Amino acid sequence: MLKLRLLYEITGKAKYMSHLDTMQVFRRSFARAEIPVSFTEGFNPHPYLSIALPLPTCFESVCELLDFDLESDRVSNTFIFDLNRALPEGITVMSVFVRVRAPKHIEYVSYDIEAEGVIDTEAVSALFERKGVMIMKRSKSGESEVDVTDYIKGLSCQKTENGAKLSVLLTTGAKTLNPEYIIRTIEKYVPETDIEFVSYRRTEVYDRDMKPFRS
Amino acid sequence: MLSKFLPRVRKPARYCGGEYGSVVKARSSVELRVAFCFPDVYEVGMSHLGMKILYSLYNSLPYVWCERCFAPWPDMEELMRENNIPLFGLESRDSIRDFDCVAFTIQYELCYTNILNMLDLAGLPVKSKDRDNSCPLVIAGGPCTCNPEPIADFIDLFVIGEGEEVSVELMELMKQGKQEDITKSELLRRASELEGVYVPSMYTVLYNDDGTVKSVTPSGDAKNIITKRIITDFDNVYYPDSFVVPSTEVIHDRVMVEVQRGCIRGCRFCQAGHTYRPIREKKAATLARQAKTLAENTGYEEISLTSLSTSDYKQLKELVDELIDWCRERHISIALPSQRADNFSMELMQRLQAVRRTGLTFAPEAGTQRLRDVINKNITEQDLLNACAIAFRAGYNSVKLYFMIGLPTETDEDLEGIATLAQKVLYTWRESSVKKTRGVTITIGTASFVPKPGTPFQWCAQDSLEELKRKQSFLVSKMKIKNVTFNYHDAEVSHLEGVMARGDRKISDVIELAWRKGVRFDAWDEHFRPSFWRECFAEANLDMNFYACREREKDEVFPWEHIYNGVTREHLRKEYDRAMEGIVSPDCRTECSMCGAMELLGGGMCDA
Repeated sequence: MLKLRLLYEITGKAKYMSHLDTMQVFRRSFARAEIPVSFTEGFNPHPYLSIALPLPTCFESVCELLDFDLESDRVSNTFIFDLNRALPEGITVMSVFVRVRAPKHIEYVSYDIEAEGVIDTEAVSALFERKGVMIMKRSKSGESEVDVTDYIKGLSCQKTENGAKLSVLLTTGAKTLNPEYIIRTIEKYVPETDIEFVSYRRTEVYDRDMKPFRS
Repeated sequence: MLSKFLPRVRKPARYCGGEYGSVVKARSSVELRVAFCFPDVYEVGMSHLGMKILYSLYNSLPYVWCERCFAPWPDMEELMRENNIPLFGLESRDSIRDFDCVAFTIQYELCYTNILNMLDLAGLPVKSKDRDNSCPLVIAGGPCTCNPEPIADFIDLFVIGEGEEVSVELMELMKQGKQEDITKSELLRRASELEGVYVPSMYTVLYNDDGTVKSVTPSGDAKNIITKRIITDFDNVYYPDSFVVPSTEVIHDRVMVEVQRGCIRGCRFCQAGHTYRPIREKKAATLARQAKTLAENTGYEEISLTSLSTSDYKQLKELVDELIDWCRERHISIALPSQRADNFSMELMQRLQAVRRTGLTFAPEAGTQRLRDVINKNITEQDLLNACAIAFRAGYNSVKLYFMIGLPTETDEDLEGIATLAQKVLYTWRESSVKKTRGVTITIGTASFVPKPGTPFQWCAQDSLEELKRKQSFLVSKMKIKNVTFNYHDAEVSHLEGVMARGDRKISDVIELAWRKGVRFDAWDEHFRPSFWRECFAEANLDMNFYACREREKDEVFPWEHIYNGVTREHLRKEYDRAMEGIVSPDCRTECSMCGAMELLGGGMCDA
């Protein structure tokens, strides 16, 4: 048995799938590609599949990680080709490798956020340079007020033709922030902001040393 | 454009396409563009086997590109209307207004307003007569075409019966027509010559003073009677080797193989059991091959052996033998829906390990033997209790039982019988369960009976709304039994269904009126607006009870008199008479009832 990890992208039409949808899609794609993944024991066996960081619906990503176990001791030469042919439009596997560390070692995650509409990029940059930018954040235990900047390790904001492009580096694990809160914060604190449409793309996941997290 | 709106709607995956197995062709490579429309949401439509078969069949024709189209949920509809996004095919996202053919499958009466809404969202006039040569041909098929009259004004042509052959004939004809650049009326005239095609605009309906139909008269060369299409060689009928695999959760999401079409039981309330006659089955080897191919091509983890009554399939054991090891190696389970209490096999269920997974469901339909005899549901109380006892002994601790209320000749005693039967099932559990500590759940579901065209009960009055509601509350009072959960359907829904099922062309105006008032998704509780419908019937000066709650004269001309499903009116009336006398009729395997359906096979034999 091999303990493996996939690196894959979610783009275009596939971004509308939920986290659970994606798991089911992989299960069936493995079956279609005739890749022998390990199943759990028990009355209702299902393949052991685990996605490192759930991706919110309508987000794209170029750095998704899926853990699974392979029944055989070697990975076929055509593994990536076979799997990609079995996946629906918008999910593309880039590489497969043996996994060593657990996904809990991911500490940072970066996103590109493209906002269309009226947005003052200088005011946005200034806003996140200070501390104590409070917003209401929802979590499993209810809503509470938090300082957004506690979650932000880096942020840049550039003007674009239709609005602004933000690149953010956020903490994850014990302290996770959905990047939608960045836009909410801007809407709350930067006057005259009028954002019509936002698209999100997860760009990289990092370990504590800020190295891209892979195996 | 669309990507701007999808993040704002619920379940955007409904509208985005791109699923594994969806068919994308080059626009320039095809001659006909077809939109296969299911007038309900994606999750319902994508569960439907008929759509999978026909989607694949259409796309097997090199000159056709068939796309899927579902009714947008009201949140999406609002965005589409605000932003002038016309209804589009999921595969190309092109407006279906520019297609050659818009084909609806009509599975239930309560989707009629959705059909109008989809036509309107496509930018098409809802009435057939208002659509000119530039509009796509709007066609429809499916179970509700047993009585197409309520929607006859909206649809250019109906396909009556089984679609696998006539759909191809229609496409050939449309291709030819397009090459010759013929008018819509000429196209319809030519189509009307095909067996099983009904062009409602070629028929004139006259009414008696009392509102009943006087006559249905064809014009020109149109057929007097439209006989349904049927597949005579069912073992070799077209079947897809792959399905579109949804990327989001839908209701039924699995491999389905159709083990047989038709049913040997003559349950007198059942429309499918009468209109899909006679029974034809596939060979076990054929089914095993189709199931394996589909499982390999889709990656599904479940195979369902589908039919109206799968435990009546003669080669069920052989089929399961062929599949079981193959499936086990691949972690694929086998589901057997539609089993009867009198012949289901616990041994088989245990071999399939299907028991704990899916639960056991039986449909005694009525609470007393007398009433079960009236409806010809040839199941005895003993059959049911035996089946439950076997299940409980096998460690099972929940069972669902389905009943109907409002059946012809029903009395309060019959209703009490439902409660008594639930009680007896509970006793059976106490006597036979091996795991009493876990307790038991008995779920009793009741639907309200709706008399359907093409059945022996097509003459019957449906219980009035008030009576149905009284019966429901009567049952609630009787059903206060420990461990028994009692559910019932909204009687208002059944009442409207009763009106639509046996409606005539006059109803078209009411449907249009209701749709213009904003009625949509009647089959969904959160959208169903019975008061709107009552207003619309009143406005059109039509009486809902005339359609639903009136006992018909023996020789009344029905609105669907010109549609023939193969079972003779004489047979249906004979069965009606026997019902009133409480006499059961044997199933087709025990004795042929000469219902007439075998004539459709042109001298061939059915598989009873």
